[in-house]
Amino acid sequence: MIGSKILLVDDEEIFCNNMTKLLQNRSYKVTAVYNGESAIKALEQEKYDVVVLDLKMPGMNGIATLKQIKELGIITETLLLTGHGSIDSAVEAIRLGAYDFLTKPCEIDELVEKIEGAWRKKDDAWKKDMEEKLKKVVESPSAVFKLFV
Amino acid sequence: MPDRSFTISATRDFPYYRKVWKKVVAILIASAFLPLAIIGGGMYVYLARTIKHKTMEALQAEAVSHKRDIDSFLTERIMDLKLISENNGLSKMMSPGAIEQVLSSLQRELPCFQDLGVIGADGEHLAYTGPYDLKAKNYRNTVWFKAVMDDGVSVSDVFTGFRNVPHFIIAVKRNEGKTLWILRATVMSSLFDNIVTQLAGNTKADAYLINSKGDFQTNARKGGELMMKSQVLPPGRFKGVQVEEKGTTLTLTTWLETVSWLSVVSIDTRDLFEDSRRVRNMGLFVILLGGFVIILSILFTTDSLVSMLEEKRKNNRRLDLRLRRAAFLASLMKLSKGVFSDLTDILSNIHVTGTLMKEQIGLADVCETDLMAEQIFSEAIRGRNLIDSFIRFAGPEDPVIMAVDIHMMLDHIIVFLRTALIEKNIGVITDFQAGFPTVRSDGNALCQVLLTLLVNAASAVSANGSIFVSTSMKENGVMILISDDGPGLGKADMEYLFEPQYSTDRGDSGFGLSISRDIMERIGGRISVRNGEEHGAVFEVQVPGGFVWEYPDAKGVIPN
Repeated sequence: MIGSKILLVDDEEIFCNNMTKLLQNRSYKVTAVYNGESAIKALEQEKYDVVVLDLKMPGMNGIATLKQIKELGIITETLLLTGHGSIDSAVEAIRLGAYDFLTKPCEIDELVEKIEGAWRKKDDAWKKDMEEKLKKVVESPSAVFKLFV
Repeated sequence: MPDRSFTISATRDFPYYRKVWKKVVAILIASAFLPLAIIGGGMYVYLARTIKHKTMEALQAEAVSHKRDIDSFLTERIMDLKLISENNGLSKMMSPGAIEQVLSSLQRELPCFQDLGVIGADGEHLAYTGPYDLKAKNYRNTVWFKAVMDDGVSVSDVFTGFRNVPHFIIAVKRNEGKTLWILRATVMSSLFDNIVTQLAGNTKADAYLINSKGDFQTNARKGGELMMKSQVLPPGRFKGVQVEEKGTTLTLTTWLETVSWLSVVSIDTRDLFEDSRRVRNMGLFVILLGGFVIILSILFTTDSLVSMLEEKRKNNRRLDLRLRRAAFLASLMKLSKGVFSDLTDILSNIHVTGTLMKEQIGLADVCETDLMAEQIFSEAIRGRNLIDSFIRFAGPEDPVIMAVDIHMMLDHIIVFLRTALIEKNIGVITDFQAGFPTVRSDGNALCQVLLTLLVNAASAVSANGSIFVSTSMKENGVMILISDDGPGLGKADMEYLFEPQYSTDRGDSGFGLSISRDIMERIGGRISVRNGEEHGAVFEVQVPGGFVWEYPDAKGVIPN
């Protein structure tokens, strides 16, 4: 989806910067951070549609970051990037609620395809959430004040 | 393989368990022989004592019996003379021919009587019959005469006397009113000897008589002649039987009642206890034979056990070396995984940079830079594949998930098998469904399964045969059918085809299909076989659309 907001998290600055440009060339709004802690801060400050998260990072690794993201309770989808597609990391990531994972190096088109898939899932979740909130407003108009709290 | 040939245990090579071998052999031998020695020895001592005791009792009884027999013999002879003297009287005995008749009747009864004489109180012969001319002889000063005059009865010691031949006298005194006379008979020692010897029941025993001075009154079998001094010193009179054991000779002595003679029975204990010695020797032989068998069994058993231990130790050592090697490789791979992970990042950086470069270069340079960018991509991909292959080699249990184009994979395998197919002029007929999707699966493992099935099919079909490969989409994945026009499978083949080490003439090594089944189960698929409607075998491979993983606490599908 053109204009989707992507948070790219990878300790490899070259990859991060160049991938940011590639995604920006495809009209995505990309923010790049280089570690898990920065990613959590960014997500606390701003909403992102899709988080592209590297699994192997010094300090807070991809799995730990994913757990924190889930604890934030925000509506976003996470794509994992791994060095090689090992079953343990894949199972762990999917179990924790990641949308999918990709092995590095990955084709830009493949990544875009996954981002689109993740965005659709996130959009569905957002719509569902909105419907539930609207339903509450219809049922109880005073609830409108709580919508954006 | 352990050395099964039997060699002497002490010389066999047990480099690590020699001490154990010695200890086990010592303990087993001790535990086998100690009870044997205690029980066997105890039984032998008990039996030997019992046998000796019983034998001694029997011997004593025999000695008493021997003495009684001799006493009876002498008593009877005395009674004979008493009866003759009482029945006949002096006048009758002196009548012509009477004494000869009496001697004759006595000799008929017992030939040991040599002569018979009637002697007056002055010691002169009143009548005599016998082989010697003894009528003029006077016995007034002889010991036996004095004894008979004193006691009424006398049995003399053996002496040679006037006749110079060993003999002894039995004499009885008779009073007829105021007339006193003596009836005297001579017993020949040679004949009496036979009687005494015959009375001794034990043929191995030496039985003889000695007088109170220790002179032989009968011949002894072993170095004892009549009237010579014997080695036995007669003790004072005693009742019963006296037993004396000296060296290997056992001597039983007892005094006669009728005469002051000592009855001696001597026997060699070696002869006496020959039976018990034989039993002892037989027992010893049995123990030695049994011991030999026990020792052989112990050596053989211990050898076998220690050989097994040695073999086990060698195997353990080999296993240990392998484990060490495996541990080394594992640690190396752990290290390598980190290195490869970094390498992957580097390749990823190159790849993404190449992609960016390709997009940002101006149109003028497009041809040359495109080429360079393609080279960067291809090298990056090649590097990644290389790392994937290496990691797969290092940890074959970890599947590498990738998007698999099954049609392309089958095409590659068929090309790979081209040489083998051309050799037998085998045709491969493919029927691939159009619009076939890629599946996310462990591509390398799937490739191994399909390669195994196609290689087996190529082996199964005869020259000019055909292999059929078709694909179709199913609800939750895809199905690949690989069939051939070979001879098909028998009932047993169908049952055991996927078991390890079960091989058929289809060319399977015995592991290929077993491994294939495991792979398919691991990636969530299935493999099955059936015979074709007309001929040949049909293998069905079902591959799930998304990778299915099986974990103890998780089950799911990675979306395609």
